[in-house]
Amino acid sequence: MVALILAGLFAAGFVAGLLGALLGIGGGIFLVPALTLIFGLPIRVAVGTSLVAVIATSAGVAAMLPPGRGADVPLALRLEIATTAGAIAGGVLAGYASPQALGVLFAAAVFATAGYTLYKARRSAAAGVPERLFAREYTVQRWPAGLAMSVVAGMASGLLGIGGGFIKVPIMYAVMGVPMGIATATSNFMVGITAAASVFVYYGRGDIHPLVVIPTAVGIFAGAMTGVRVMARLRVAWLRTALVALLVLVGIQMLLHSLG
Amino acid sequence: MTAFISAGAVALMAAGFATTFVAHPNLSLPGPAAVPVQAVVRLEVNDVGLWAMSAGILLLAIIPMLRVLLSLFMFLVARRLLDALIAGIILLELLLSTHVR
Repeated sequence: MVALILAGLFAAGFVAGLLGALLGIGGGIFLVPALTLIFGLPIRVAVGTSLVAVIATSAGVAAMLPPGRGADVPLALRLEIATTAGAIAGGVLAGYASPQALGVLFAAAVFATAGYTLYKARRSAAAGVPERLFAREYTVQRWPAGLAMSVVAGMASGLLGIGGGFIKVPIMYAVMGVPMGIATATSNFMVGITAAASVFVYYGRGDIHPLVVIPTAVGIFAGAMTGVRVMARLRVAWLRTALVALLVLVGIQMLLHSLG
Repeated sequence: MTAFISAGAVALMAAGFATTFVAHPNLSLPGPAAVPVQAVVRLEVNDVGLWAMSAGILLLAIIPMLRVLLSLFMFLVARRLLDALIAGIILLELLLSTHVR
C-alpha cells in the first residue's frame, strides 16, 4: 500500500512537471491541488513539498544549462530583493492562515494563471510583426511598480508554493518594458531563489515531510525535463486550450474543497 | 559546483529513503517531519534514514544561496559594487529566512 502511494506521489509530480512545462509555467500550480485533493495532505505540507520540488527543478535545470541563459541577471537580483522579502512574509503568514483561506487563495492563483496563459497565447497569435523576444537593448522602467509587484509575487510563492511567474513575467514585460523572452528567462532564474526564501520557514514549522517530498520532487523534475523535450514536437495550441480548461477545473475543485 | 552539490543532495536523499524503508517496513505516509536544522548540523542521529533525507533536502535548499553567493563574488571581482551589494542583501535575507518561524 505504501509503495503504491509513493508511486502515486511520483506520478503526481511527473504529471505536474509535464503539464507545467507544456504550458510554460511551474508545476506547483498542478502539484499542490493534486497533493491536497487526491492524497488528502494538509495544504501547508503540500505547499512545502512544492517549494522543495521547485528548488530541485531549478537546481537540476541550472546544472544542465548555462546559468541565467537569456536572463537579465542584474534585473533579477534587484527584483529579488523585494521578491525574497515577500516570500519570507508569505511563508510566515501561511502559518497563521486557515487551510480554507489558503485553498481559496490558491484557487484565485489558479484562475489567474489560466487567464495569463490565455493572454500569452492570444498576444502571440495576434502579433502582426514578429516580436523581438530577446532584444539586446531596452530600458527598464517603472521600478517602484515592479518592486511592489515583486513583493506580491514573492508572497504568492511563500503562501502557495508556486513560482509566481504569472505575476513576475507580465510585470516585467507590460509594466517595466522588458522584452518577453528576457522576462520569462529572468523569471525562471529567480524562481529557485524565491522558493528558497520560504522553504526554511516551512521546514522549521515541521511542514516538510521527506517521505512525501522526495518521490514528488523526483517526479516533478522528470516530468519537467520530459515536457521541455515533448513541447518542441507538439503543436501546442489545442493542447494549451485543453490544459487551460484543466486549470479552471482544478481551480473550481480547490474552491469547492476549501469552502467545504 | 551546483551540479556536485545537487548530486550529493540526491545521494543523501536516496540513501536515506532506502534506509528508512528497510528499517521501517510498515511505515505510513506522510511520515515524520524532517529533522530540525540544528539536529542535522550537530549530527544528532536518532534515525539514520530520516537524518540523511533531511540533510539531503537542506543541501538542496541551500543551492540557491550558493548561487547568490557566487554572483556576489563575481560582481566583486568585476568591481560591480552596486550589484555586489544587492547580491549581499539577498544573501542576508535568505540567511534570515533560516531563523524565521
